[in-house]
Amino acid sequence: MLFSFLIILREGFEIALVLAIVLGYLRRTGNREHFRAVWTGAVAAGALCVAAGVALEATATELSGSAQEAFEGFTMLFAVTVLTWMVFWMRRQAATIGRELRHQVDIAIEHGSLMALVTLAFIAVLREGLETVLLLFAGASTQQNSTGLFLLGAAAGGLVAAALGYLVYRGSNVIPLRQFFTATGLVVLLIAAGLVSNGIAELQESGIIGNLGARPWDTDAFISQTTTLGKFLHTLIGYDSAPTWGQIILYWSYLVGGLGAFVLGLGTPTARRAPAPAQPLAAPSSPVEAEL
Amino acid sequence: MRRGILLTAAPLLAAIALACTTGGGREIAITAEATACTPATLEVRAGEKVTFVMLNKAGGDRELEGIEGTKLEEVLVPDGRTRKINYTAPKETGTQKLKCYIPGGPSTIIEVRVSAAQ
Repeated sequence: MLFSFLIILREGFEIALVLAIVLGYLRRTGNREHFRAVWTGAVAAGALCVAAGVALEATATELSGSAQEAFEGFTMLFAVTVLTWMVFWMRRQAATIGRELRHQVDIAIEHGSLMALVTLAFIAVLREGLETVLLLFAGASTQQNSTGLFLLGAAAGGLVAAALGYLVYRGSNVIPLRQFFTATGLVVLLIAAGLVSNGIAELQESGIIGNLGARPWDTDAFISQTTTLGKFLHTLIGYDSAPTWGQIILYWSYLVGGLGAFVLGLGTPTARRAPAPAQPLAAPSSPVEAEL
Repeated sequence: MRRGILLTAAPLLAAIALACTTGGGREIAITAEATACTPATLEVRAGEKVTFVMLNKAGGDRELEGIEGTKLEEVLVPDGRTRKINYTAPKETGTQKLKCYIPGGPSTIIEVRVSAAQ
């Protein structure tokens, strides 16, 4: 439940932020009539993401035994790649994404191109939506709690993300965006490290790679993976009561490397800026938007 | 102050202890050997909660999971280790099936015969 809540909160807020910036800018420039174009693009992308999620789940359900474990293992490792890229990409883009979006909206309005607005919203939502689908699938593959709780967490995360997006749309500056993305970025990296361990475990169980070394310890007597706490920790941070050396080394390598790069700010641009329009149609409405 | 800490910590520790609990009724031993898992059949009563205590002496990892509608999540039992797995029999009589297998390899089936509750 917490896993789906965190993922949807983080990813959902990114979607809400993009929509809030675009819609807020249209509102302030007196172009409310273009709202429909933005929502059309967003809803179409959302529908495509749901279809992708259903296809992914259907594929996994069709498979069985070692083929299913291999599919889940590779999906988890792919999700780790996407998560890592997304965390560092978002940090890099945070400084310019608002200006870039407003610039694109200006161009679309100047050219009277509704299709450009539809495409803008479609691509922005599709990119974040597909990431969300991939991550939820990877998490659902490891979680062994009820589907209801998983969906409840996702729904709660979606509601909070939508509320935060609405605040940005209304021009509120109560959301400390940099701190939000830093805090959730750290949590996401922790979750991704867990997916590294779980993904390797799935590939080991599928027989594709065999066990990567011995299992140096066994903590099952203290926290069994069959208990509620064990399942929770397994899903959230990749807890394994008896991991192999391969899982341990890869987990810690990723965690130390990822967190180290994130904390040290590696990959953050120093002076890169997006091309700004010569004369923006409207200034940002709030300090929150202005800092984007 | 100390009393406040105790009052706060006690329910938290109780909740963690509850979350860590694995117990669940009668214990039934299952042993994984190199070529098969034993016993081949188990007897439980309808609705009974039992704990499978699976010892792996196979010389490699083994997994146990329910198949064909049997509600038992997949559990990996590393070589030389024991795992306790809770299981609740259905309320209807009949036969349930557990698959005991080498990850990515061959398997043996354990039949769970569910008799009427006493």
